[in-house]
Amino acid sequence: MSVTHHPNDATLMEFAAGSLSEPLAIVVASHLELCSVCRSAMPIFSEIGGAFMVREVQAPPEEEAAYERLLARLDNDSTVTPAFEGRAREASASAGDLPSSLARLVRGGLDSIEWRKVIPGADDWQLHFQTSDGDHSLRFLRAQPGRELPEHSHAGTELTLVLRGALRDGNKILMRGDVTDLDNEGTHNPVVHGDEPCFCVIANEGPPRFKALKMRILQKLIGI
Amino acid sequence: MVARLTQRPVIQPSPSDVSGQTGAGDKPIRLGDAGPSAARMAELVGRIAAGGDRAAFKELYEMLAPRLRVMLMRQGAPRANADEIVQESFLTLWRKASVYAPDRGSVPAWLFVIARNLRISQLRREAPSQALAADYSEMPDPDPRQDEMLASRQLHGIVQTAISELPPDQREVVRLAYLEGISHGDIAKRLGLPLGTVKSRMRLAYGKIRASLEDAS
Repeated sequence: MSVTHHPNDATLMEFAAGSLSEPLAIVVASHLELCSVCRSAMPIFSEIGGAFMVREVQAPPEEEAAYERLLARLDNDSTVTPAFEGRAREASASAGDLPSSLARLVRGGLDSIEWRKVIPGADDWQLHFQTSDGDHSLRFLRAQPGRELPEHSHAGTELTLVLRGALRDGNKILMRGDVTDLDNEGTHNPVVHGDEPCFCVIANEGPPRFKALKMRILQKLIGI
Repeated sequence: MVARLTQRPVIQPSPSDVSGQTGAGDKPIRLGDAGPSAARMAELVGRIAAGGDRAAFKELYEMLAPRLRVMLMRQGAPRANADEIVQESFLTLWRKASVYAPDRGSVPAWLFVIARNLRISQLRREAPSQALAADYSEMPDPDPRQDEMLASRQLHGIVQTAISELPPDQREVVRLAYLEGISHGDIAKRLGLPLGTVKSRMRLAYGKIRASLEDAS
Protein backbone atom coordinates (compact mmCIF):
# COMPACT_ATOMS: atom_id res chain seq x y z
CA MET A 1 0.00 0.00 0.00
CA SER A 2 1.64 3.24 -1.02
CA VAL A 3 1.49 6.40 1.00
CA THR A 4 -0.86 8.98 -0.49
CA HIS A 5 -1.08 11.84 2.03
CA HIS A 6 2.06 13.88 2.52
CA PRO A 7 3.27 16.84 4.56
CA ASN A 8 2.74 19.97 2.51
CA ASP A 9 5.61 21.37 0.49
CA ALA A 10 6.12 24.23 2.94
CA THR A 11 6.69 21.71 5.76
CA LEU A 12 9.14 19.66 3.68
CA MET A 13 10.93 22.87 2.80
CA GLU A 14 11.21 23.82 6.47
CA PHE A 15 12.55 20.34 7.23
CA ALA A 16 15.14 20.58 4.45
CA ALA A 17 16.17 24.05 5.56
CA GLY A 18 16.75 22.70 9.07
CA SER A 19 14.37 25.15 10.70
CA LEU A 20 11.56 22.77 11.68
CA SER A 21 11.15 22.16 15.43
CA GLU A 22 12.37 18.80 16.65
CA PRO A 23 9.01 17.00 17.23
CA LEU A 24 7.75 18.01 13.78
CA ALA A 25 11.11 17.07 12.27
CA ILE A 26 10.88 13.58 13.83
CA VAL A 27 7.44 13.06 12.27
CA VAL A 28 8.68 14.26 8.87
CA ALA A 29 11.76 12.01 9.13
CA SER A 30 9.44 9.08 10.00
CA HIS A 31 7.19 9.86 7.05
CA LEU A 32 10.24 9.98 4.76
CA GLU A 33 11.19 6.49 5.87
CA LEU A 34 7.78 5.25 4.76
CA CYS A 35 7.24 7.41 1.67
CA SER A 36 9.32 7.05 -1.47
CA VAL A 37 7.51 9.95 -3.15
CA CYS A 38 8.68 12.50 -0.58
CA ARG A 39 12.07 10.83 -0.28
CA SER A 40 12.67 11.23 -3.98
CA ALA A 41 11.73 14.92 -3.80
CA MET A 42 14.26 15.65 -1.03
CA PRO A 43 17.17 16.27 -3.44
CA ILE A 44 15.22 19.19 -4.88
CA PHE A 45 14.58 20.65 -1.44
CA SER A 46 18.26 20.26 -0.58
CA GLU A 47 19.31 21.76 -3.90
CA ILE A 48 17.46 24.95 -2.98
CA GLY A 49 19.78 25.26 0.04
CA GLY A 50 22.87 24.63 -2.09
CA ALA A 51 21.74 27.13 -4.70
CA PHE A 52 21.08 29.85 -2.12
CA MET A 53 24.41 29.21 -0.47
CA VAL A 54 26.48 29.65 -3.62
CA ARG A 55 24.32 32.33 -5.15
CA GLU A 56 23.43 34.70 -2.39
CA VAL A 57 26.17 34.48 0.18
CA GLN A 58 29.14 36.73 -0.29
CA ALA A 59 32.16 35.96 1.77
CA PRO A 60 35.82 36.88 2.15
CA PRO A 61 38.25 34.01 1.59
CA GLU A 62 38.93 31.80 4.61
CA GLU A 63 42.17 32.32 6.50
CA GLU A 64 44.99 30.07 5.42
CA ALA A 65 45.43 28.97 9.06
CA ALA A 66 41.93 27.48 9.09
CA TYR A 67 42.78 25.28 6.13
CA GLU A 68 46.03 24.22 7.81
CA ARG A 69 44.07 23.18 10.90
CA LEU A 70 41.69 21.18 8.72
CA LEU A 71 44.61 19.38 7.04
CA ALA A 72 46.12 18.59 10.43
CA ARG A 73 42.85 17.00 11.50
CA LEU A 74 42.69 15.07 8.27
CA ASP A 75 46.16 13.66 8.93
CA ASN A 76 45.35 12.68 12.50
CA ASP A 77 41.97 11.26 11.78
CA SER A 78 41.60 7.57 11.22
CA THR A 79 37.89 7.26 12.04
CA VAL A 80 35.91 6.81 8.92
CA THR A 81 32.64 6.13 10.67
CA PRO A 82 30.91 9.16 12.09
CA ALA A 83 28.88 8.63 15.25
CA PHE A 84 25.69 9.10 13.26
CA GLU A 85 26.01 5.86 11.37
CA GLY A 86 26.27 3.73 14.50
CA ARG A 87 23.23 5.37 16.02
CA ALA A 88 21.11 4.95 12.91
CA ARG A 89 22.00 1.28 12.62
CA GLU A 90 21.17 0.65 16.24
CA ALA A 91 17.78 2.26 15.79
CA SER A 92 16.83 0.35 12.69
CA ALA A 93 17.68 -2.91 14.42
CA SER A 94 14.90 -2.38 16.96
CA ALA A 95 12.40 -0.68 14.68
CA GLY A 96 9.56 -3.24 14.70
CA ASP A 97 6.64 -1.50 13.06
CA LEU A 98 7.92 1.91 14.08
CA PRO A 99 10.02 3.95 11.67
CA SER A 100 13.54 4.06 13.11
CA SER A 101 13.29 7.81 13.84
CA LEU A 102 10.61 6.89 16.38
CA ALA A 103 12.00 3.50 17.40
CA ARG A 104 15.04 5.24 18.85
CA LEU A 105 12.66 7.02 21.23
CA VAL A 106 10.19 4.19 21.90
CA ARG A 107 12.46 1.25 22.47
CA GLY A 108 9.93 -1.54 22.76
CA GLY A 109 7.69 -0.41 19.91
CA LEU A 110 3.99 0.44 19.95
CA ASP A 111 3.01 -2.63 21.95
CA SER A 112 5.23 -1.73 24.88
CA ILE A 113 3.54 1.62 25.49
CA GLU A 114 1.73 2.12 28.80
CA TRP A 115 -1.38 3.87 27.58
CA ARG A 116 -3.43 6.32 29.57
CA LYS A 117 -7.17 6.58 29.01
CA VAL A 118 -8.22 9.99 27.71
CA ILE A 119 -11.85 9.40 26.77
CA PRO A 120 -13.71 6.12 26.27
CA GLY A 121 -12.11 4.34 23.32
CA ALA A 122 -9.07 6.58 23.09
CA ASP A 123 -5.79 6.31 24.97
CA ASP A 124 -2.69 8.36 24.72
CA TRP A 125 0.91 8.46 25.78
CA GLN A 126 3.03 11.56 25.90
CA LEU A 127 6.68 11.12 25.15
CA HIS A 128 8.73 13.92 26.64
CA PHE A 129 12.29 14.44 25.57
CA GLN A 130 14.90 17.09 25.86
CA THR A 131 17.36 18.58 23.48
CA SER A 132 19.64 21.46 24.33
CA ASP A 133 17.23 23.93 22.72
CA GLY A 134 14.30 22.98 24.89
CA ASP A 135 11.74 20.47 26.12
CA HIS A 136 9.64 18.71 23.54
CA SER A 137 6.87 16.19 23.42
CA LEU A 138 5.26 13.83 20.99
CA ARG A 139 1.83 12.38 21.59
CA PHE A 140 0.98 8.83 20.67
CA LEU A 141 -2.67 7.96 20.32
CA ARG A 142 -4.49 4.63 20.23
CA ALA A 143 -8.18 4.80 19.30
CA GLN A 144 -10.79 2.11 18.82
CA PRO A 145 -12.77 1.53 15.60
CA GLY A 146 -15.42 4.19 15.01
CA ARG A 147 -13.99 6.43 17.72
CA GLU A 148 -14.25 10.06 16.79
CA LEU A 149 -11.25 12.05 17.93
CA PRO A 150 -12.07 15.31 19.65
CA GLU A 151 -12.48 18.21 17.24
CA HIS A 152 -9.79 20.79 17.65
CA SER A 153 -7.84 23.49 15.94
CA HIS A 154 -4.22 24.45 16.47
CA ALA A 155 -2.01 27.20 17.66
CA GLY A 156 0.60 26.20 15.07
CA THR A 157 1.47 23.42 12.68
CA GLU A 158 0.28 19.94 13.64
CA LEU A 159 1.45 16.77 11.95
CA THR A 160 -0.32 13.44 12.53
CA LEU A 161 1.30 10.29 11.19
CA VAL A 162 -0.68 7.05 11.04
CA LEU A 163 1.43 4.13 12.27
CA ARG A 164 -1.11 1.29 12.31
CA GLY A 165 -4.78 1.03 11.30
CA ALA A 166 -6.57 3.85 9.49
CA LEU A 167 -8.21 7.22 10.05
CA ARG A 168 -10.87 9.04 8.09
CA ASP A 169 -10.51 12.80 8.15
CA GLY A 170 -13.27 14.46 6.14
CA ASN A 171 -13.22 12.60 2.84
CA LYS A 172 -9.64 11.41 3.22
CA ILE A 173 -8.66 7.92 4.37
CA LEU A 174 -5.28 7.84 6.04
CA MET A 175 -3.30 4.61 6.25
CA ARG A 176 0.11 3.73 7.65
CA GLY A 177 2.66 6.34 6.58
CA ASP A 178 0.03 8.94 5.69
CA VAL A 179 0.23 12.36 7.27
CA THR A 180 -2.21 15.16 7.96
CA ASP A 181 -0.53 18.53 8.01
CA LEU A 182 -2.58 21.28 9.57
CA ASP A 183 -1.66 24.83 10.36
CA ASN A 184 -3.38 27.25 12.67
CA GLU A 185 -6.18 27.90 10.22
CA GLY A 186 -7.65 24.42 10.10
CA THR A 187 -9.80 22.33 12.39
CA HIS A 188 -10.25 18.63 11.90
CA ASN A 189 -12.30 15.81 13.22
CA PRO A 190 -10.72 12.46 12.38
CA VAL A 191 -12.53 9.16 12.97
CA VAL A 192 -10.99 5.70 13.24
CA HIS A 193 -11.73 3.88 10.00
CA GLY A 194 -12.14 0.11 9.61
CA ASP A 195 -12.21 -2.70 12.19
CA GLU A 196 -8.81 -2.27 13.79
CA PRO A 197 -7.65 0.24 16.39
CA CYS A 198 -5.66 3.08 14.92
CA PHE A 199 -2.25 4.11 16.27
CA CYS A 200 -0.81 7.45 15.35
CA VAL A 201 1.75 9.96 16.52
CA ILE A 202 1.08 13.68 16.70
CA ALA A 203 3.56 16.54 16.79
CA ASN A 204 2.49 20.08 17.50
CA GLU A 205 3.99 23.49 17.43
CA GLY A 206 1.30 24.61 19.82
CA PRO A 207 -1.20 22.78 22.05
CA PRO A 208 -4.54 21.84 20.46
CA ARG A 209 -7.49 24.15 21.07
CA PHE A 210 -10.54 22.02 21.68
CA LYS A 211 -13.97 23.24 20.74
CA ALA A 212 -15.90 21.46 23.51
CA LEU A 213 -15.77 22.87 27.02
CA LYS A 214 -15.46 19.35 28.46
CA MET A 215 -12.34 18.76 26.43
CA ARG A 216 -10.88 22.10 27.42
CA ILE A 217 -11.32 21.18 31.09
CA LEU A 218 -9.76 17.75 30.50
CA GLN A 219 -6.89 19.46 28.72
CA LYS A 220 -6.23 21.55 31.83
CA LEU A 221 -6.53 18.58 34.16
CA ILE A 222 -4.52 15.93 32.37
CA GLY A 223 -2.62 17.85 29.79
CA ILE A 224 -3.92 16.31 26.57
CA MET B 1 17.46 11.40 -20.86
CA VAL B 2 19.00 14.74 -21.71
CA ALA B 3 17.51 17.84 -20.19
CA ARG B 4 16.85 20.83 -22.34
CA LEU B 5 18.29 23.87 -20.67
CA THR B 6 16.60 27.10 -21.51
CA GLN B 7 18.59 30.28 -21.37
CA ARG B 8 16.82 32.74 -19.16
CA PRO B 9 17.88 36.20 -18.12
CA VAL B 10 19.50 36.22 -14.70
CA ILE B 11 17.86 38.68 -12.37
CA GLN B 12 20.21 40.36 -9.94
CA PRO B 13 19.16 40.12 -6.30
CA SER B 14 17.83 43.35 -4.88
CA PRO B 15 20.04 45.32 -2.47
CA SER B 16 17.90 44.08 0.43
CA ASP B 17 19.19 40.58 -0.21
CA VAL B 18 22.71 41.72 0.45
CA SER B 19 23.81 41.17 3.98
CA GLY B 20 27.07 40.10 5.52
CA GLN B 21 29.22 43.04 4.50
CA THR B 22 32.85 42.38 3.82
CA GLY B 23 35.69 44.59 4.91
CA ALA B 24 38.02 46.58 2.69
CA GLY B 25 40.58 44.46 0.93
CA ASP B 26 38.36 41.37 0.87
CA LYS B 27 37.46 39.87 -2.44
CA PRO B 28 33.72 39.35 -2.12
CA ILE B 29 32.02 36.90 -4.36
CA ARG B 30 29.72 38.89 -6.58
CA LEU B 31 26.06 38.42 -5.84
CA GLY B 32 24.02 37.06 -8.67
CA ASP B 33 27.10 35.18 -9.81
CA ALA B 34 26.06 31.62 -10.52
CA GLY B 35 29.01 30.60 -8.36
CA PRO B 36 31.52 27.86 -9.04
CA SER B 37 30.62 25.40 -11.77
CA ALA B 38 28.61 22.43 -10.52
CA ALA B 39 30.35 20.14 -13.00
CA ARG B 40 33.76 21.23 -11.73
CA MET B 41 32.76 20.62 -8.11
CA ALA B 42 31.43 17.15 -8.89
CA GLU B 43 34.70 16.37 -10.70
CA LEU B 44 36.72 17.52 -7.67
CA VAL B 45 34.75 15.25 -5.34
CA GLY B 46 35.38 12.42 -7.80
CA ARG B 47 39.13 13.08 -7.59
CA ILE B 48 39.00 13.02 -3.79
CA ALA B 49 37.10 9.73 -3.90
CA ALA B 50 39.47 8.20 -6.42
CA GLY B 51 42.74 8.94 -4.66
CA GLY B 52 42.49 11.43 -1.81
CA ASP B 53 43.47 14.31 -4.07
CA ARG B 54 44.40 17.17 -1.76
CA ALA B 55 44.65 19.79 -4.48
CA ALA B 56 41.06 19.00 -5.40
CA PHE B 57 40.06 19.18 -1.74
CA LYS B 58 41.71 22.59 -1.37
CA GLU B 59 40.01 23.93 -4.47
CA LEU B 60 36.61 22.82 -3.16
CA TYR B 61 37.37 24.28 0.25
CA GLU B 62 38.25 27.63 -1.27
CA MET B 63 35.07 27.62 -3.35
CA LEU B 64 32.64 26.65 -0.63
CA ALA B 65 34.05 27.04 2.89
CA PRO B 66 33.78 30.87 3.00
CA ARG B 67 30.16 30.81 1.91
CA LEU B 68 29.32 28.00 4.29
CA ARG B 69 30.83 29.81 7.26
CA VAL B 70 29.04 33.07 6.52
CA MET B 71 25.76 31.19 6.09
CA LEU B 72 26.21 29.40 9.42
CA MET B 73 26.90 32.70 11.16
CA ARG B 74 23.76 34.21 9.65
CA GLN B 75 21.91 31.24 11.04
CA GLY B 76 23.05 32.33 14.47
CA ALA B 77 26.16 30.23 15.04
CA PRO B 78 28.88 32.13 16.92
CA ARG B 79 32.15 32.40 14.95
CA ALA B 80 33.88 29.57 16.81
CA ASN B 81 30.95 27.19 16.28
CA ALA B 82 30.65 28.14 12.63
CA ASP B 83 34.37 27.43 12.16
CA GLU B 84 33.97 24.06 13.84
CA ILE B 85 30.97 23.10 11.69
CA VAL B 86 32.85 24.15 8.53
CA GLN B 87 35.78 21.94 9.55
CA GLU B 88 33.56 19.00 10.43
CA SER B 89 31.61 19.42 7.19
CA PHE B 90 34.75 19.26 5.09
CA LEU B 91 36.08 16.30 7.07
CA THR B 92 32.79 14.55 6.33
CA LEU B 93 33.06 15.50 2.66
CA TRP B 94 36.58 14.02 2.58
CA ARG B 95 35.58 10.79 4.33
CA LYS B 96 32.41 10.29 2.34
CA ALA B 97 33.53 11.48 -1.09
CA SER B 98 33.13 7.94 -2.40
CA VAL B 99 29.43 7.81 -1.49
CA TYR B 100 28.61 11.16 -3.07
CA ALA B 101 26.03 10.45 -5.76
CA PRO B 102 25.90 13.19 -8.41
CA ASP B 103 22.42 12.10 -9.47
CA ARG B 104 21.14 12.94 -5.98
CA GLY B 105 22.19 16.58 -6.16
CA SER B 106 25.06 19.00 -6.52
CA VAL B 107 28.07 19.25 -4.21
CA PRO B 108 26.82 22.50 -2.61
CA ALA B 109 23.45 20.84 -1.88
CA TRP B 110 25.26 17.86 -0.33
CA LEU B 111 27.44 20.16 1.76
CA PHE B 112 24.37 22.16 2.78
CA VAL B 113 22.74 18.98 4.13
CA ILE B 114 25.92 17.82 5.91
CA ALA B 115 26.33 21.23 7.57
CA ARG B 116 22.63 21.46 8.42
CA ASN B 117 22.76 18.14 10.24
CA LEU B 118 25.92 19.11 12.11
CA ARG B 119 24.40 22.46 13.04
CA ILE B 120 21.24 20.86 14.37
CA SER B 121 23.04 18.17 16.30
CA GLN B 122 25.31 20.78 17.82
CA LEU B 123 22.33 22.95 18.68
CA ARG B 124 20.04 20.21 19.86
CA ARG B 125 22.53 17.58 20.96
CA GLU B 126 21.41 14.10 19.96
CA ALA B 127 18.49 15.41 17.93
CA PRO B 128 16.71 12.20 16.90
CA SER B 129 15.46 13.50 13.56
CA GLN B 130 18.85 14.30 12.13
CA ALA B 131 20.74 11.05 12.01
CA LEU B 132 18.31 9.66 9.53
CA ALA B 133 17.96 12.79 7.51
CA ALA B 134 21.71 12.56 6.94
CA ASP B 135 21.36 9.06 5.62
CA TYR B 136 18.57 9.89 3.18
CA SER B 137 20.65 12.37 1.29
CA GLU B 138 23.29 9.73 0.78
CA MET B 139 21.15 6.72 0.18
CA PRO B 140 20.36 5.76 -3.39
CA ASP B 141 16.61 5.60 -3.72
CA PRO B 142 15.22 2.38 -5.16
CA ASP B 143 12.43 4.32 -6.80
CA PRO B 144 14.01 7.05 -8.85
CA ARG B 145 11.69 9.55 -10.45
CA GLN B 146 11.98 11.42 -13.64
CA ASP B 147 13.44 14.56 -12.13
CA GLU B 148 16.31 12.61 -10.65
CA MET B 149 17.52 11.74 -14.08
CA LEU B 150 18.67 15.29 -14.46
CA ALA B 151 22.38 15.43 -13.89
CA SER B 152 23.31 17.32 -10.75
CA ARG B 153 24.78 20.25 -12.64
CA GLN B 154 21.52 20.67 -14.48
CA LEU B 155 19.50 20.35 -11.30
CA HIS B 156 21.74 22.94 -9.65
CA GLY B 157 21.59 25.35 -12.58
CA ILE B 158 17.86 25.04 -13.06
CA VAL B 159 17.15 25.53 -9.35
CA GLN B 160 19.43 28.58 -9.29
CA THR B 161 17.69 30.13 -12.27
CA ALA B 162 14.25 29.31 -10.86
CA ILE B 163 15.19 30.96 -7.54
CA SER B 164 16.38 34.10 -9.32
CA GLU B 165 13.07 34.33 -11.14
CA LEU B 166 10.85 33.97 -8.07
CA PRO B 167 8.76 37.00 -7.16
CA PRO B 168 10.63 38.89 -4.40
CA ASP B 169 8.06 38.10 -1.70
CA GLN B 170 8.37 34.36 -2.36
CA ARG B 171 12.13 34.41 -2.66
CA GLU B 172 12.42 36.29 0.60
CA VAL B 173 10.58 33.68 2.70
CA VAL B 174 12.56 30.84 1.15
CA ARG B 175 15.81 32.74 1.69
CA LEU B 176 14.98 33.37 5.35
CA ALA B 177 14.22 29.68 5.91
CA TYR B 178 17.33 28.32 4.18
CA LEU B 179 19.99 30.95 4.66
CA GLU B 180 19.00 32.24 8.07
CA GLY B 181 17.48 29.03 9.43
CA ILE B 182 14.34 30.75 10.70
CA SER B 183 11.16 28.74 11.34
CA HIS B 184 8.03 29.62 9.41
CA GLY B 185 6.41 30.90 12.59
CA ASP B 186 9.31 33.28 13.21
CA ILE B 187 9.36 34.38 9.56
CA ALA B 188 5.66 35.27 9.94
CA LYS B 189 6.45 37.34 13.04
CA ARG B 190 9.43 39.04 11.44
CA LEU B 191 7.52 40.02 8.32
CA GLY B 192 4.26 40.77 10.14
CA LEU B 193 2.36 38.20 8.06
CA PRO B 194 -0.08 35.43 9.00
CA LEU B 195 1.60 32.01 9.18
CA GLY B 196 -0.69 30.81 6.39
CA THR B 197 0.65 33.50 4.05
CA VAL B 198 4.25 32.50 4.74
CA LYS B 199 3.39 28.87 4.06
CA SER B 200 1.52 29.62 0.87
CA ARG B 201 4.46 31.68 -0.43
CA MET B 202 6.74 28.72 0.34
CA ARG B 203 4.43 26.36 -1.51
CA LEU B 204 4.15 28.67 -4.50
CA ALA B 205 7.92 29.06 -4.64
CA TYR B 206 8.46 25.31 -4.51
CA GLY B 207 5.81 24.80 -7.17
CA LYS B 208 7.66 27.15 -9.52
CA ILE B 209 11.02 25.50 -8.88
CA ARG B 210 9.46 22.11 -9.46
CA ALA B 211 7.78 23.31 -12.66
CA SER B 212 11.13 24.55 -14.02
CA LEU B 213 12.60 21.10 -13.43
CA GLU B 214 9.68 19.43 -15.14
CA ASP B 215 9.99 21.79 -18.12
CA ALA B 216 13.63 20.85 -18.42
CA SER B 217 13.23 17.09 -18.25
